[in-house]
Amino acid sequence: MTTAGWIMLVAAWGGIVGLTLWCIIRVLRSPWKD
Amino acid sequence: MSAGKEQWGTRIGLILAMAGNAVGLGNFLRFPVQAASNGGGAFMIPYFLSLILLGIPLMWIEWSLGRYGGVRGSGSTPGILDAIWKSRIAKYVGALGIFMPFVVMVYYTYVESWSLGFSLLSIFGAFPETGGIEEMTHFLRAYQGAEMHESGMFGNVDTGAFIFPGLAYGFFLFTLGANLWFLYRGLSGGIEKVALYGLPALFLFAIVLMVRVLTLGTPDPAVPENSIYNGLGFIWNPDLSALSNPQVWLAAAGQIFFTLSLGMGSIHVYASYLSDRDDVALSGLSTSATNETAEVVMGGTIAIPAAVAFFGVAATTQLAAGGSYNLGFVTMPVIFQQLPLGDLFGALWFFLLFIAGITSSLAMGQVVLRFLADGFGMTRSRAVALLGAVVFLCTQPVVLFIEYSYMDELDFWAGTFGLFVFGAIEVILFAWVFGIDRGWSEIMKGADIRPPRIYKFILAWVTPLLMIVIFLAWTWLNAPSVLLMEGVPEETRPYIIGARIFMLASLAAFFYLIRRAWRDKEGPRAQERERARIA
Repeated sequence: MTTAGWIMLVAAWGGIVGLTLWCIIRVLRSPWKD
Repeated sequence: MSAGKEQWGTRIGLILAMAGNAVGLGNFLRFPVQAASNGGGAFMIPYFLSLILLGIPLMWIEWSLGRYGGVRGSGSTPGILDAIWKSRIAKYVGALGIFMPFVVMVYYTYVESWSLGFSLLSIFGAFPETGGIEEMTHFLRAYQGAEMHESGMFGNVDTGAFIFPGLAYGFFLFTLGANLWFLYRGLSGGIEKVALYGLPALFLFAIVLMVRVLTLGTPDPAVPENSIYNGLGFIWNPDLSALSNPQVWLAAAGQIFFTLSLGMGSIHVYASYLSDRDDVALSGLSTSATNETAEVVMGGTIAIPAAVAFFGVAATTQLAAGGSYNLGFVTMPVIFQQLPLGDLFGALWFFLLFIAGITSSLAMGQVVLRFLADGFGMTRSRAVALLGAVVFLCTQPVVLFIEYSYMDELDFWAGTFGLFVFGAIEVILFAWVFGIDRGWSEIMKGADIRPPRIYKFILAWVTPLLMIVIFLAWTWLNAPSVLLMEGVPEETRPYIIGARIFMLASLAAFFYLIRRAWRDKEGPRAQERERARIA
């Protein structure tokens, strides 16, 4: 695994996991409107 | 109750059901193969660009079209397209959104049943303990009934590796029965419950397997290059020269399209149970993000890195070229056999695939149920019984002709090509027929997040053009050779033609049903009833 490989892995994992957690928090804070 | 008048119980249940629809065998098997064979880490650049420009916009389109149709009483795509496009052919174009889930369900349920069967066989230590890839290939073929040992069973009874003929059929019946049961239990009582328990279980199993794979180190110290680090490097080391190859961009866009279950018709149906005030923007984005976690983080860390750690880069390249099913059902059991507690890890792996499978096949079944409810007012129990009988009958050739590419043919046209066709059609209709201004306000209606305004431009121009280019390029590269059966052995051709006849007959049957449903809805009797109701 090269340094560039690690950078790609960390960037992809960080981006995706970060987005997923942000979505989960926003969904939990916004229940159904009715 | 009819399948058209139900509701989701909770928002998180809906998002998990949508994510379950998207997370399938492809996340754990197709993605790592695509990444490894298309430039490794460099693949991620077109992959994420496709997610932003194609995947998320299409997800919003399908969620908002589903809600738009559902509010107007039409949950499946014939009714939805008829509502947004004032043309006599709109409903027939929408037939694709029922035809594809139906045909895919016919073979997918069978593959799903292999996962369940292999999960139990793994627990009971029934896999061959020696013999490696070759022996396991025979074992899978014996399970599928494609080859038989002279004793009437496959394998070596002394080593505990044997299998009874017909076992696969038993698991298929159980899996189909389970699907029908959950569909019968309804939207919130069946599908949502499976998602609420199944998706967290799937993520838990995936994390356990990830940890196991990441702690493999160098399984054979005599061969230091076969290590988990080189396995991760095989997927993630960027080969930037790959970016100049259009095939890599096409593969990345195709993977995003398949993994999110776009162009299928199932997202529309699940979203059709929303009310006009419910958000689609945040929910659609959450579905995409959850699916991507399962794919990029988990799918990319299990199968291929483990295969490299045990067999090396060259052998893994060959194994991956053998296709996703071989990677999942042949390579992985052989790897688990070499680990302490391997039977347990094998069982987790296959049960994970089973959960990924059933949450997707339930979505396919629900599409047909919703169509029968909308079009014919059919009750859920009658619709489930009809669906079960038809799927059971139509799966028989899949089971019997597994070694004659019958299933592969269905998978190519209904499970791959058809998705591109329908995806391209719906994005054009949304942006240019329904109109981007109406479309954008539909996405923004009740939205819990504000998508950046640049997305209005992306939805109007970038996504449709990208979709058309991908559809044409992909079709040009793949369809002619499959259509002309190039390289197909003579003895296999009748089965492939049989699969095509089945698909054409299914499509014709759906056209007929749509015609009947609309005649009932718009015919003189319906108008008389409507006049009497108003009077």
